[in-house]
Amino acid sequence: MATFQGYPRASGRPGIRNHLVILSMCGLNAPGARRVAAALPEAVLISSPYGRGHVGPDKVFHRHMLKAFSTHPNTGAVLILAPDDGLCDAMVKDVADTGRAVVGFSLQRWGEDGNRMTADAIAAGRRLWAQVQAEPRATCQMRDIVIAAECGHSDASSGIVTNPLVGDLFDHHIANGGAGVFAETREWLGCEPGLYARCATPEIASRLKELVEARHAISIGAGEDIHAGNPGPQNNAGGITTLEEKSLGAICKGGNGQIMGALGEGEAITGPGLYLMDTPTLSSESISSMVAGGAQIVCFTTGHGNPYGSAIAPTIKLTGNPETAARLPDQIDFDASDVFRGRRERLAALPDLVTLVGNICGGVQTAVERNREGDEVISRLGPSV
Amino acid sequence: MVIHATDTVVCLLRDHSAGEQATLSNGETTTVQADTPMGHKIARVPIAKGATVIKYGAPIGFATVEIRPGEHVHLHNLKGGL
Repeated sequence: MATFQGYPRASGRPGIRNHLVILSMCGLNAPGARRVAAALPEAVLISSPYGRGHVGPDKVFHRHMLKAFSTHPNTGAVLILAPDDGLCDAMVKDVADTGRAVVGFSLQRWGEDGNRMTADAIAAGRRLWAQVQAEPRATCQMRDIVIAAECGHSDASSGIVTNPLVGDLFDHHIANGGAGVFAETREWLGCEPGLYARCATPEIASRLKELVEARHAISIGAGEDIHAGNPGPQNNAGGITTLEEKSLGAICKGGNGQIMGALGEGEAITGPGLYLMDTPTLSSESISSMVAGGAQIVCFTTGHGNPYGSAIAPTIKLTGNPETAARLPDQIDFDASDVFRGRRERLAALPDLVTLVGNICGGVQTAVERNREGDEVISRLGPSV
Repeated sequence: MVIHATDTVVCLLRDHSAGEQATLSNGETTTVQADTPMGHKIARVPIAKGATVIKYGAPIGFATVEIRPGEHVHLHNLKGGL
């Protein structure tokens, strides 16, 4: 059985990192949180610009995401910054209940003195960092890893080489007991019947259809025609003829597996197998929701390149475009352009990708981590009052 | 590049000229019928008018006219099913 050296947790899946997370729960804490983060460069800053005045599902989702990041498998300890005692203490308790070290700072408790609170938070952060960075790794199972797949700035190479290669990785990982997830609902457009047919039960297919229709209703309600000009002239020039072809080129990054669940944004990935999550297409939103659902690592395919990744989940950047790999050597973790050039079979590249994933799980850094290009965002599901 | 074993089209990994032999990733060869750019598709087998075109092991549309092996498959002879 494939193993890696990681961080077993008191409950839930193991982590591949042991982050100190600075969780800024409210926009009122954001500037102070940035000063704390500047003093603790190894910590991961997660800062919501909002945090009060949410209503309904938007309110539930915001709180769920903050908790999901704070109790993520890759999170070792948490420094919480909040506007008031109520919000602060409830989140401290939720994190402490998972056995993680956590310290909370509430502006209310500090008499609204941002300077004094920042100084005290930095001191506490230094102690938490000393603790997490000293914790040793231990043997964990690769099958307890959830891999998220994302594509961005795709080109002809993405659909022909890189997404199918990540699909091969998914098939391999899932065959060995692991889990995988992909998202970006709008990118499935035209392939939905094939996806429904792959669902393990009629209930899953029905839930998936519900999520897809609700997502498209947002565009339609805003007066957008989701089919017009799709594929567009740039797609056509690159060789993409039909909408189904474009979308199949995107969804093949999930492999050929049976679909074991249809998830809402940020919803927990509960078992092994392939999961689909309904999210917006913007990488920051889709990745953050998949990470909140439990993905410890992300495979992000790109054609032309882009620097972005998750802050919590190490994000592997792959391209099949030889020009991109040559132009961005400090951004690309896996160069599949030899496959695109016909010099190597796609399946011959799979063992190298499996090895890279294993190495990253064991602590080797991705380009996103070295370049400090990671972030997390919490989508808004509605307006504030 | 043959992406899936059952595909009836293949993607060119570089520009090809009319009459050039293309060697596919599975060893098959076919003659490219017209100048066809990188990333574009050629037919791997004869495709009847109205027949479904398969790529990624799934339907991507149907042929609007009869297509011979090696012919460029794009907007002029392939229409999506939607």
